[in-house]
Amino acid sequence: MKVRSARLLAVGVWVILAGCGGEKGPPRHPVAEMTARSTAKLELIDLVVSDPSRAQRLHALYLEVATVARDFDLARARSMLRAQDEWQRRTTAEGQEPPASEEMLELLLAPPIAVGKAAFERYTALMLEARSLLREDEFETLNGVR
Amino acid sequence: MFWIALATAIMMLSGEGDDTRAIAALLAGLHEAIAAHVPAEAQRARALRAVADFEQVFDKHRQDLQVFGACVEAADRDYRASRANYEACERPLEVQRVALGHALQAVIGEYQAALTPAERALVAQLVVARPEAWILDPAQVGGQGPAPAVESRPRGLEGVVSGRHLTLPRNIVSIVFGPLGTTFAQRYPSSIVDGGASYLRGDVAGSGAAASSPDEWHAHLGVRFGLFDDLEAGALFLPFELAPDFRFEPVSVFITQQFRLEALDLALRLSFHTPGDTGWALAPGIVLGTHSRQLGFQGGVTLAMEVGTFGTPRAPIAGFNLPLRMTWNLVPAFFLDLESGVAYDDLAASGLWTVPLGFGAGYSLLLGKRLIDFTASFNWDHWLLPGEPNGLSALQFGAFRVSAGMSMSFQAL
Repeated sequence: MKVRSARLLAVGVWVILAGCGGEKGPPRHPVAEMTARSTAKLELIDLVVSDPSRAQRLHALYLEVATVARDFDLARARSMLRAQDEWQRRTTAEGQEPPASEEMLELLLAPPIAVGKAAFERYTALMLEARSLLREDEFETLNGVR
Repeated sequence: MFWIALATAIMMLSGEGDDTRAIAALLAGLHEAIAAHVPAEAQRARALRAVADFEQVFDKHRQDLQVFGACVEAADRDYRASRANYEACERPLEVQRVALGHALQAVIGEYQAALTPAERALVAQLVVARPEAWILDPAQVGGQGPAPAVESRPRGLEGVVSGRHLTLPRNIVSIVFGPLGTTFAQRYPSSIVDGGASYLRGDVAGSGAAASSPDEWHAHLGVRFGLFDDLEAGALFLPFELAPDFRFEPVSVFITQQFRLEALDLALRLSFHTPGDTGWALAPGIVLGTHSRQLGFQGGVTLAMEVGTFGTPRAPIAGFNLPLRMTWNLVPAFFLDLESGVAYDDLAASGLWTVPLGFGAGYSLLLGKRLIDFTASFNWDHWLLPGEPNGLSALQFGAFRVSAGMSMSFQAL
């Protein structure tokens, strides 16, 4: 490969990598990583836990974590939709009454706190039950996956 | 735009994407609309300040959640963590939420004081008209009906070999330098593709057999990547013949689209070789697979062709292959493999029915974030020739292939 071509290739690779960096901004919601930690373990349980009945229960537990996270995501999405409806209602001058409350903005950021508390309560229960089914060495092996 | 909205909504709902960008887009929309449509400078500046304050509140809210997420992660990673550890993570959230409400109250008050009702209506119109800020389709979030089903294929490594699907899960990468992993149904009229280091002996038996070809050594290294939940692409892009001559061999590329059905997986696979001695080679086909904790079966049918090149055209050689494979996990980490099937390597010639036979074994080792499969196989690729073509013996034990190596898989994102 000629030097010029190699330089062009290097510049191209750099541009692509730089493009993959994404924009900086507020951090992502932690629910995504909490879900990913559980789903990353799901299909490896059988390899780590040799007892089929424990493995089966653990599989169900980690799957339920994904369901809890999904339900929480849905609650976030529904809350955004409610905010969307409110913005839509306010696209006319007459729609400005009564004055907007902070709820119009809060719904954009988070669902009602009770929803989050219930989801986290379930998450905690699932994580504690998972520990009760795992030996420490098994726990650490699965812990290393993600 | 609908598809962008749908894809973003699906990403968000699957936990892979996030609403951060949507909220950022909404904020950008507010900025632009106010800057362009509020003529009075003082009012404009006040409204923009309110938007900037909202931005700060959003950022602070996410920073708080980040601290919460780090606390939960620490608890998740501690075998001795108790309910108290998790509760300690959650405790600050309630106070933070009250503070969030107060901060937003101030923001909305400022915003409304800055603009006239007509200006607020115009800004709302412009913001609502930005589809990237409103990523959610009500049908997708179950706003009017039941919630969508939980994603059925987890995005993580698959462990027990007999339980694996026909394609890698999304975002899983596998560095391939071993047999048994990728190369099922990769039989072409004049070559058979396998990963890893291979030794080939060609002592063909029978009165019509030519002089034995020299023993061959090969080394094939490649990669597989789960592009989507059920779409995988890969290539053995460093294929070498090591002996008797050292040379770079054709690169093998394979793309597989899987359909997960109730009891089995069905996959469409297209494989091809870059031009070698016989030009381009193609092997489109269908593969079926069942999987369980102990036993996995795969079968398929491929149409294999070698078609020459544009520069050196030749009459195509076409054949077909019906491979079968059984994988038996004696224990979760150790498996045995049995392969056979039927192949006909050149439909233009007669009596070329071939029954291959092969055995293999492998051991899976989970090392942190990486899953390593050590594999070895022994194959008679032309074990039984029922038609005894050209005076060859029906049973061929002297021509065989021994392969060994390892493959390493990990989650890319």
